[in-house]
Amino acid sequence: MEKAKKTKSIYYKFLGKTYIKSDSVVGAVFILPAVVLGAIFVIAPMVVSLSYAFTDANLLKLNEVGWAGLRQFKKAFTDRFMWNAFKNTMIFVVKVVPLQLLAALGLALILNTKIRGNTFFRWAFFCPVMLSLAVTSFLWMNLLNPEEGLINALLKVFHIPPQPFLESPKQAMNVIVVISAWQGAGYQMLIFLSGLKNIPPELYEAAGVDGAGSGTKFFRITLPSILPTFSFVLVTMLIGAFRLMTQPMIMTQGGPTDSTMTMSYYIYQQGIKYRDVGYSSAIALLYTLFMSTVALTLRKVTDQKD
Amino acid sequence: MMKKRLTNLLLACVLALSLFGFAACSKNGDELEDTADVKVVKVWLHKSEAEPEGRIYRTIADMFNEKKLHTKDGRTIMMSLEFKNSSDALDSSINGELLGGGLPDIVAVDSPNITAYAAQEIILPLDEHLTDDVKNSYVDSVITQSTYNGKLFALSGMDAPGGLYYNKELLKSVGYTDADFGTIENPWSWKDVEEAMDKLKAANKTYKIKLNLGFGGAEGCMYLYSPLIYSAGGQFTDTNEKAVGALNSEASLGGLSMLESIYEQDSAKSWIYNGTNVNAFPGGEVAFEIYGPWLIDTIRKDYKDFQNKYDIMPFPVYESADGTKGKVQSPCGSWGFAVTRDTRDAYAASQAVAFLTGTEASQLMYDSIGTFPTHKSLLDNEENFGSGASKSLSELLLQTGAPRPRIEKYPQLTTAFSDIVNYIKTAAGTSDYNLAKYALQKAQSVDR
Repeated sequence: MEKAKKTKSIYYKFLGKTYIKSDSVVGAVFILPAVVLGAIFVIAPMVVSLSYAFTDANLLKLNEVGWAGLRQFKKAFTDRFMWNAFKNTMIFVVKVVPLQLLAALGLALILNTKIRGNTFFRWAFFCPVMLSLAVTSFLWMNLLNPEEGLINALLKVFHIPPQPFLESPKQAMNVIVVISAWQGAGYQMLIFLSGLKNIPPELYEAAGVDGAGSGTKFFRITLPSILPTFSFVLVTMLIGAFRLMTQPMIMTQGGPTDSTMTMSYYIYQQGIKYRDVGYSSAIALLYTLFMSTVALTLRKVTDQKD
Repeated sequence: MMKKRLTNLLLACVLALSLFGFAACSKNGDELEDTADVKVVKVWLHKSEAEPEGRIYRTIADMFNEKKLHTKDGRTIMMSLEFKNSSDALDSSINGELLGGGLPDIVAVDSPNITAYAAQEIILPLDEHLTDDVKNSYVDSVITQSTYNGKLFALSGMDAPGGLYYNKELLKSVGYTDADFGTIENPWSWKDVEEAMDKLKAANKTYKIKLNLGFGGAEGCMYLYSPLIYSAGGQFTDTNEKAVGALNSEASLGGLSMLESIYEQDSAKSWIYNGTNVNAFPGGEVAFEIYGPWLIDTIRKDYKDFQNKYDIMPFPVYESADGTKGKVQSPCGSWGFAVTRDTRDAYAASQAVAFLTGTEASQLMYDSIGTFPTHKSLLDNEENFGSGASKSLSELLLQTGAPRPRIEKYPQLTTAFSDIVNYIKTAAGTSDYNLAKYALQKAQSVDR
């Protein structure tokens, strides 16, 4: 009787499952800091931003916020500069995601073989990830200087005329795509590499015995085996690409001729520089909805393939 | 097991202490607090103490604290500085405190932002706390750019007049004489500059111009190139602060066409210097440079042989098709200081602002970083401003300084103007180039 009473005091039921009280307390204590910090720095700003989207809030007049209803959203849909930023972001995403994905996968495949200097290459490919975006942006700006940059000096050796790079509306975004892929590929490479290491070598051995070539092994064993990793990398890369801001902010300030103005930078510009928090929040809300839809759809599609 | 626990505990303590240590060290400011005898005036700055300008502010604050000025109730006023390290960080801090009421007594403020802050009553008028003698000491451009609705809201201890640096020796080598160089009464237009570059190039001399279009981002563009619009009789906004009809008016577009002309011909004539050498002008790589006063200090310190080989003429003016020239307008303006609405003693804060921008501070700034003093008495100093490039720039500041536009939507306007100028830079001469259309779109983005 005493034992049953004691057992009852140790366990409890919640939503049909039985838990140990002391374990739950320890668990709650462990997650409490994350929950508190998340509530303060993630949930609360999101709620505030969401509420500002329906107001005419200005950063300098936050004590005089007026209800704007859907006015800010209507303004967004007729704002040609926002649409231009959206178009630029989509161009960036469409170009950078495949490029970075292929680069990361390619590097991972190379490093998954037993080449000499494997450790050095792994470090070298990961190096750009460790550098600050601001630092690499300044570095590339110097390299790409039309008159004195190293890249044009190299082109000259091959009798190619100097290029304007970041000063050309036609080239600037492509340059940012390449720089972003260079900087980001190392991180995804490591994730792919860990996925590749988990593939049992026996599968390749068996396929080899059956006469499968390299291509067959890649498409029939490697790719299906790393599909969950592939899906994760794709979604995170996509979200990262949608958020592009640092490189255009530092290297081109959205120019030339608005050709590198991205959605994140535009939202920042409206909210922080122009102090139009209401409008900025409205665009941010619309953009978040768009990104969430794309990411969830993609996740669903790749999950089905898994 | 016990030993492992102890080690973990020790590590946790070290980590916690390190974090506290970092937190304590990371505060970039003084720790002065009010007492019964001391009134502390807190100042937020847009600079880092590691920069020369930041170090000068520290010296000025020390000088102020040694003066032991008093509040109206007899307490000693002490100045406490907090370095925010950048203008963006300062803006963020100000924005963060607007609702909470935690602004310091004084904030650094860039001259074009004064209107927005004054209109929203974030900063207070200084008039009642300062004597007329103090106010009259400053050059007109400082008073003009700091005045809103007839009240003075800020003061500045430094100004940055700009103009066209030119290599006298080179130009004389192709036939120019001292009488030919541009003056306030008889300025050079952009066409005169083009002509001079052509002559230099034909004579196989250094001929390029450094335009500094990337200097200081959008704000730098507005600072250096707003005279393009003013010189042609254009405006950035109309009296209702609307940009459409002003920024894209015929006069404004006429002013912009001066820059357009240089860029259109650049592909054939290679007039514009695109290199990264900040000292290209004293280094002999270019014959001209559009810039502020900072180069004078560099040349004085590092290019002594070049001292007598250059001068500064007014920012090139607009010239119409019939040869009529516009009026001289010179870039100017800089950071100043204003008293915030959250100050606990407006009188004490105003005295601190007057000292931070006073003659001693102004002279210190000039001596160390080369910005121009904002006091008439200092600009009258024969030793510093009696001859050469310094004299030329001081005359430009006193007679032709054209403050940047003062409107609430200044951030939008400065971005729009910078975009237009950069559009000229990157698209002039291309097949789909249409300045009028682009300027209209940008003007609309300001008014939206």
